Amino acid sequence: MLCPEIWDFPSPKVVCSNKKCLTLNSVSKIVELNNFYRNVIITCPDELHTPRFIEDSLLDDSDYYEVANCPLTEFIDPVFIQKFIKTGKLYCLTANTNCMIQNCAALTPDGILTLHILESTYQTLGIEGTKRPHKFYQIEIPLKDLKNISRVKTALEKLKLFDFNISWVPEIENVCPSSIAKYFCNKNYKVSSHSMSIERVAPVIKEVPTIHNSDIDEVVEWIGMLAHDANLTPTESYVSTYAEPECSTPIKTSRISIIIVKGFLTPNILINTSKLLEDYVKSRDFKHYWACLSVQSIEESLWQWNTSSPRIFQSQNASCNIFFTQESHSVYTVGQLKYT
Amino acid sequence: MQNIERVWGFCDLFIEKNFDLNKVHYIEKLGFNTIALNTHVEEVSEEPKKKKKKNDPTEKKDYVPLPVEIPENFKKNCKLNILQRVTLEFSDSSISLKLNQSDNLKKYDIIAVVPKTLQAFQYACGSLDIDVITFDPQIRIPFKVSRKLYRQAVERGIFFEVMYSAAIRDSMSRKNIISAAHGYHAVGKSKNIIVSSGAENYTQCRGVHDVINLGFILGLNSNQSLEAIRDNTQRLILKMQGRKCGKHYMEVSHVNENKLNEE
Repeated sequence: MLCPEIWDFPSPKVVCSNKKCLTLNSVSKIVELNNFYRNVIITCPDELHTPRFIEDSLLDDSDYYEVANCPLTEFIDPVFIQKFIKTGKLYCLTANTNCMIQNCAALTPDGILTLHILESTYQTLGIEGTKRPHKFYQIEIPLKDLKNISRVKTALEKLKLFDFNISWVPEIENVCPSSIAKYFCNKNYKVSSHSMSIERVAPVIKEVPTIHNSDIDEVVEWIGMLAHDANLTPTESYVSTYAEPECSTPIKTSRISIIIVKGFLTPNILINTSKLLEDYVKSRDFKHYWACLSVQSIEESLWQWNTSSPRIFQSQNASCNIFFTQESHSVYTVGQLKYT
Repeated sequence: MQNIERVWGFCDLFIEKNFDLNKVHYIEKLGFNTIALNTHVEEVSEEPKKKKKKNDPTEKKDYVPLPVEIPENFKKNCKLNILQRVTLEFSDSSISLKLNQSDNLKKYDIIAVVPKTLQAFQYACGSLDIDVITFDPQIRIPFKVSRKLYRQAVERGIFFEVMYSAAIRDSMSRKNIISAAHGYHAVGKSKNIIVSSGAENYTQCRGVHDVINLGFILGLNSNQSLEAIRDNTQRLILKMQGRKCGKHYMEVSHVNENKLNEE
């Protein structure tokens, strides 16, 4: 008799990585590895309010657009490719799609349209793709170098209309990023503009642990607790056994300022903010001073865990935490797949 | 093809008909996209033939009752796909006569059966044109599920159902459900299993991830658990569409003219 195994349940796999002694360049490369982020949390110790210039870098000029009921054939239009894909960085992702049960699509700044298609739909399309887990196929269409346009067009016409979140960064300085919204508007699609939402948190703390003398994952957890306004010193251990990170030389300050910015974030905004944060940290004269930039991924999006893994649509939850210090920077990433 | 694709997604194919339709949005919040409202038909012992006095002798009551009424505007507003399902209990092959004569049966999307004897189970696996074989969780399955019959049912595209909300309600049901599920694992390697709730109210439904994790206790591995609520249910829906339409290879339907691209 075959008895099923019901005692050895594997715990969900969590992917962690810890990189130290990085320069701004390597940090930028890590951020640029993925294109779609959902929110960013900036932590500045010893500040009542996060410096204005850091907030502005996230909020100014960071509007994104939602285009409703748009067919994928719009993206292979030669006019569109010439105007937007070849002259800037276009970030586009289907909104409100579950990548376990629906078809999804994404356009990345390298000009590749990536489609995540159900097996039954893939068999009707007629374009070559690669097999992915959970009965999906991935089709990559390089738009900068598009061949067989008519074949691709007939295939894309078979897919239904999607809602997209779009953000465009032009190469030339004096071109306005909202031209993409105007382009879709002129084609009679419903376009709505959204700006980032910001939440400011100023929790009360006793001291700030430094990343030199404490475990980086504990500091990340500590920041998370502050961002959620959670109780750092639980009195009874039934509900919470949380303990603050131990640090031999903490920064003695009772002020810390956290901002949580939510929206459709793209790497260019984050890299600009990183540069400003690096300069800001260098300007402070506390020993072992740090500031942190944490980004969280969009849960149903195109994601690449590291340079050696493929970039696929996966239902995941990942966060990348960058600590800027006066000498060098550290990055702690942690992530988990929702379905194994 | 463009706008006709329905997203079946995660399906919960057994919701009792006394489930309050106003609370159906809770199921949607839990992550499901399709539900099936169930009408249970209990086995009625044959009435002794009595002489009909004035009644029309050819008047016969339909064995299967009408499906649950769903208001049209509810269907439009609801983001879930709602299917109609009937569960029939039977003990011998005379059920097929009653089913063939029933007009109401055609109004249902999914046909599920609860075989009560080994002969009935044999008949269901071998000859009955049905979609799902299920069991009553309050009693142990009275017969032994044999490997040969299980394989025969799988080859015909029939699915075996395991429901979980009875396990929440009652500890005897919990034992029966787990033992049935382990039996399916032993006999058939848990092929063609669908997991559904059997919920009578919204407190007995669980979220998609919870149901997938529950699959471990029911003898499914992580791939099979995901299949049980996503892939197998989609295959079941495909089979049901095939059974309703009969032999066909082309489906013609209206395309919404407004949504076609302007060239």
